[in-house]
Amino acid sequence: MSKQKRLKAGALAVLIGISAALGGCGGAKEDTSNASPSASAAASASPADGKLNVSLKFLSYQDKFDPTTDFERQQIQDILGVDIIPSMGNEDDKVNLVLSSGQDYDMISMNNRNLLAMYAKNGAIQPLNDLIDQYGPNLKNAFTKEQWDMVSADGKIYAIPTFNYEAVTDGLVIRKDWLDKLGLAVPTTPDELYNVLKAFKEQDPGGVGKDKVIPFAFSPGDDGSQLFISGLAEAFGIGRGPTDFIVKDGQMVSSLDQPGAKEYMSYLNKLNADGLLDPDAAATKHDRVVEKVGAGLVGVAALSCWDSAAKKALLEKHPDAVLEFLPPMKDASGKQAISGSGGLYSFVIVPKSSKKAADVVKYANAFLDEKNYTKLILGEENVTYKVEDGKYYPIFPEFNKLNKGRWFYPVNDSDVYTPLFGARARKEKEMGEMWDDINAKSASSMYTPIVNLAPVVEAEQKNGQTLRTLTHEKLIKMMLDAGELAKFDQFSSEWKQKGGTELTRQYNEWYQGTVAK
Amino acid sequence: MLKGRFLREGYGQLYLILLPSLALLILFKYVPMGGLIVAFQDYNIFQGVRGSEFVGLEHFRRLFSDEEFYRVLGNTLIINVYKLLLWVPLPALFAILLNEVRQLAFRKTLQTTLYLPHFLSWVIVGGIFVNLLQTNGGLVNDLIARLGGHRISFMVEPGYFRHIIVASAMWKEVGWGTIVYLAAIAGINPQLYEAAMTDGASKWKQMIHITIPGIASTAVLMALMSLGSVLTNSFEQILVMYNAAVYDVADVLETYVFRNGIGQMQYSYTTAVGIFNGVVGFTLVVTANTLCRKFLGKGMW
Amino acid sequence: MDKTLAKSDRVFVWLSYAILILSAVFVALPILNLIAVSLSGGNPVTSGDVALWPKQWQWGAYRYVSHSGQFLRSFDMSVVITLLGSVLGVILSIMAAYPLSKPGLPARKFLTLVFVFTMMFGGGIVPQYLLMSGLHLLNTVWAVILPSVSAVFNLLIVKNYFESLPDEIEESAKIDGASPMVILFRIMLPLSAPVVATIFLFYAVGFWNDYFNPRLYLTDQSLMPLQVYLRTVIFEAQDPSGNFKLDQSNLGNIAPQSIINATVILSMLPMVILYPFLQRFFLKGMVIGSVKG
Repeated sequence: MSKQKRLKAGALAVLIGISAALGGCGGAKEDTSNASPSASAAASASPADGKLNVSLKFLSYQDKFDPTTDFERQQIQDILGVDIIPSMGNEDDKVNLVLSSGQDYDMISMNNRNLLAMYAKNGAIQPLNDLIDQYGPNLKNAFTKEQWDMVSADGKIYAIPTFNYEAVTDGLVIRKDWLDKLGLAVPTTPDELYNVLKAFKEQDPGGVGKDKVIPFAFSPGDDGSQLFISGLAEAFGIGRGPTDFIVKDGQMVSSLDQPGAKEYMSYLNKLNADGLLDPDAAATKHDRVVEKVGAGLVGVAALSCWDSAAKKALLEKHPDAVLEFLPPMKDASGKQAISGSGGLYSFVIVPKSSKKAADVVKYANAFLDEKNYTKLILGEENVTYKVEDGKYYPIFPEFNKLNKGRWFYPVNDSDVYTPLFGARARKEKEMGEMWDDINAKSASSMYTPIVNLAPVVEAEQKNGQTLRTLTHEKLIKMMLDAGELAKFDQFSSEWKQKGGTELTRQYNEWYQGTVAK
Repeated sequence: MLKGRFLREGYGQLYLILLPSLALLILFKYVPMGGLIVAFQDYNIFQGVRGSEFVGLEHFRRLFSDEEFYRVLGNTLIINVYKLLLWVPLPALFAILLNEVRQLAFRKTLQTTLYLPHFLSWVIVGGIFVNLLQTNGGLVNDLIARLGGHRISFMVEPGYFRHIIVASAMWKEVGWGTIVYLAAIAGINPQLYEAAMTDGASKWKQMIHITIPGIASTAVLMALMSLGSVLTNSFEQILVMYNAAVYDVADVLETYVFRNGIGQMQYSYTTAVGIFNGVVGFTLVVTANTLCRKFLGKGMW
Repeated sequence: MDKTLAKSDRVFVWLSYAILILSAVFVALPILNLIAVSLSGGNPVTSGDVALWPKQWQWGAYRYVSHSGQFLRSFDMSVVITLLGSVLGVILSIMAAYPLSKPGLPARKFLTLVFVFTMMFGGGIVPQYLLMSGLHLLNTVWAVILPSVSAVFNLLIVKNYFESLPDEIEESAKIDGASPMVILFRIMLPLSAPVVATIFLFYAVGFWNDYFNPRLYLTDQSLMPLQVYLRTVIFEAQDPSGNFKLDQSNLGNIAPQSIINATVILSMLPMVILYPFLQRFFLKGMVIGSVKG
């Protein structure tokens, strides 16, 4: 018998052996603590010991930890009496399939609001108004009507929201040491910034090499980039970029209608024409910007406080370098504005097939309860975290147990979360420094972009992606080419015609109808 | 007469042997093909096929009337045919060369090195090439600068894009492509070589008269299969390596569909595009196969 | 034997070596960079300082990726899926290729077309998912194995190979009265070592690298194969919203790119090792003997 025949026979034996083994444990490995049914609905919202004694099947995003053994899961069980049975993989197309084929879940976490409306319309998810009225006092207190509207359709609430913490995380950084070397003041307006950038190029204070230095670095190459640079664009009287929506004279308008939009693009075009941008800018993505800053080649960059790696790498090579955030640029009237991180982060829906919708609401309600909240988010004081000067700091290695806790949250409110979030932001010294730096300089000028508060209007669902794609392509071309820039008005009309006008109209319907009151 | 041959050749048993594979194919490939009908509907995943409205050729009409369609179709064909022209000879050539290496350890090292890139995803390989071709700090431009030349912004100049795509694709896949050819070469009767050598034929002659004919049918197979995917190839690669400055030449059918969010929930439209791709691919393969059989005497079937 | 090589032959050989070595170097360099980055400290990586050799050597990235229990579990899962799938796939492909390689088989062209057709047309993920759901195969290994087990590409390669073998081999056996099953397993197969090894490798790589099917059909963390685990590591590391930093342990100074590269290397290592083992089946001359006479 040939060698390879023996191999095949062996493999067959292995195969039979394995399938026998698998036959024994085929199918989902469910946690057997499928506990007793939920507390009787006839009882009031909180049972005697405050614990719910219910188990809920939860589908959320894919992550690399084993949620069945996670610390947070245990905490939720201990403190709230809720046993979360975790499943992973909540990509849009998968959730579509899960819902349409009636798979068994009690809670599904998502962040695509387009789909929420569609699911509601098709009856795939359960409305939660009555349940919230009955079992969710904490929930009702935590969110305003506008916030509930973001997860509603046809006047009914269809999901429990998780709002992001509210802070400034992205802005412009500058090499302060370069400024000092040239004896220049910190720029406060776009014109001053331009002069500083020119000086960086012509005088090369870092000794990098005049052809290598990148006075201004940002990432238009990111997928779908709308050329937003918050902290700069607002100084032109627009939003974060030329196609962002702003509130003006009690109305929601597109930045395209402001003279500032064209000025902003001319500004960027000039930066490029004068060699103040990276020649590869169009293809540059965010991590490349981080790399260039870390290599010491960049004067000013659009960076995030999470990019502490850039600071660390920079300081190692150039110990005298000073990387600081710039306060937001001032507009003609001296006003500053920069966008914050607030807004709807994700939300939890309850599929039609679940019989535990009431328990889901109760769970979310109990989660926000004052006496549980801090513990659930940060653990034990002075064990996993500590408080100094009113700021929260993590204690290692204990805090590591809470690393993935976020996966389990059914709800979150930015007012209570933001200060606690500081513990995560301060996990790393440089990162904590950058977080504190940018917030010290920008927190007072922080605003939440109006589109982050708006519901998903039909026009956004239908045309949003097309408009973004068009914007990405055209704006980059305008940045690179004066001929294209001259066609700005043409772009503006095209944007409007391809759905922009309709989008503006529908947004205003909402804005006038609710917020403007 | 057929019956007699049937029994003699044991065709019954042959069909039996074929059956398991065929059954699985039907179950997992043909049964789902029923889903193709959604291309002719306004499909709503919650109403299902039965509850969705029939719209006939509406989606196809939309596809063909899109002004961008012809541009992206052109890009797709140019890039993928360009790739095909290199994909047929290069792996075969390398396989033949590898075959000449006598020292086993050295040969294994070479081979392993050459096919390593196959295992890297396009996200990684794309990143490698973008890095390599940076205007400032990329190895290629550094070399050009050192030789006194002018730096070229490769990734943002439309003129270079297609060449970069094809070159990087070859870098990634040629090594792996040699495997099939090596297997074919291993199957060539060694006596043919022995006979040739005793006749005093040089290695070059041996390659032309023995090796190449021996792998010809494999080459035809590989070419035909690439032809079948001529409209869908390159999607992931281009998605990773293109940017707005080169959309005009870079956008292929699938990236265009993807970028316009068309994939999101628009099952009907994407299925229609899929049918279009399949029809073109299938037609090309059948035509090419017929031509091959006519002129080369061999084909896929 | 080499001493008697003609001059032109020597040129041929030298040229071959030159091309091969240059190509290998061209291919190897970026990969060396990849490995170097995976072993380098955070700062040099972030500033783009790493070339072909690690700077500030550290194993942290590999430790980070492989030290969780989840890594081992998903690794084992991938091994099971790959082994099962490949063995099944090879057997099925051979069994389909042999009949289709016999020129006299009635409806041969049609049947081949039936297979080839599926390479270009597919129903899409919705019907596939519904089918799996209907067969109650969701969240089982079979959902990940069965769709890929009749790979037409592999079948065609085997078919092509069988067709290239001389007819005399089968003729003598048939005259002796052997049935097709016997001919296939006793005669054709031993001669087909190279092609069997080839498609075994193709199946193995296909299953090992599959991310799409597990992502779609599996939700149970305990069933997740390696690629899903690694992909989540990568997503985590690349997340610009900083969730990576916010969610993982205090790592010390390791750049996300190091972690990404470490996952890539770990992912491909088993497959890269597999091929040299299978290589001996590719040597010329394994086929000697049976063709004579």
